Amino acid sequence: MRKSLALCAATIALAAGHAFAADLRFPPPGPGYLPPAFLPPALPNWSGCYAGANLGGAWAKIDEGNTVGGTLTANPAGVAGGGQVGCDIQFDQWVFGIRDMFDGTNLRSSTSFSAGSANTRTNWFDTLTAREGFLFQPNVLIYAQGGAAWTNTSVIVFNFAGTQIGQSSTNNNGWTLGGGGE
Amino acid sequence: MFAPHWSVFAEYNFMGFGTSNIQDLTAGVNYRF
Repeated sequence: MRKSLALCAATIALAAGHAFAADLRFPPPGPGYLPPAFLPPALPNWSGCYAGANLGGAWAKIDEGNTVGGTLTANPAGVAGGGQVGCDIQFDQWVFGIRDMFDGTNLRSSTSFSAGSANTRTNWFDTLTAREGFLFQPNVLIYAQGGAAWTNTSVIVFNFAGTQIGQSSTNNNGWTLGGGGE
Repeated sequence: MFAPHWSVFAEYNFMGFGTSNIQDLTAGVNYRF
């Protein structure tokens, strides 16, 4: 009987303790009670600098007529990949930035002409661009960009016997326009 | 941006070099510091 009474008292004490703890965790609303504030997730901040990598397809129209003493055109297609660094600054829904992108390519072609044939290869291109973008969503940027571009093209010329009779490596300066989404 | 500090992009560029030109269609990732 004593054991039963002790067990009953312990159970009541434990239950009272739980109820007291529950009261501490969930106080009843009353004057001065403020519900917990809801904090929305932080929006992306586009201001700052970045570095990254890229990979894609490339195609070219190469005109190296002056190199081989005749008309030489090629239309190679291939893969381009490399890296980029840039910085952006955000004003409300607008983002402005600058970026340099350097890509190596495997753009190659072989073209026959009156005196033999020529192999052309576009080794790389580099673009330095400014961009202006609009945030259609806080994390979705649609942009247009433009700036300066550079490329290096190699040409190796062969006669009809297949003997190499000349080669050149030319750096060209130009311009670029484009756009995309990020 | 798809994760903190990370973004993906896809873009098209036309590069003009007088009588020659290059076009590229590329995708990439950026890490923002």
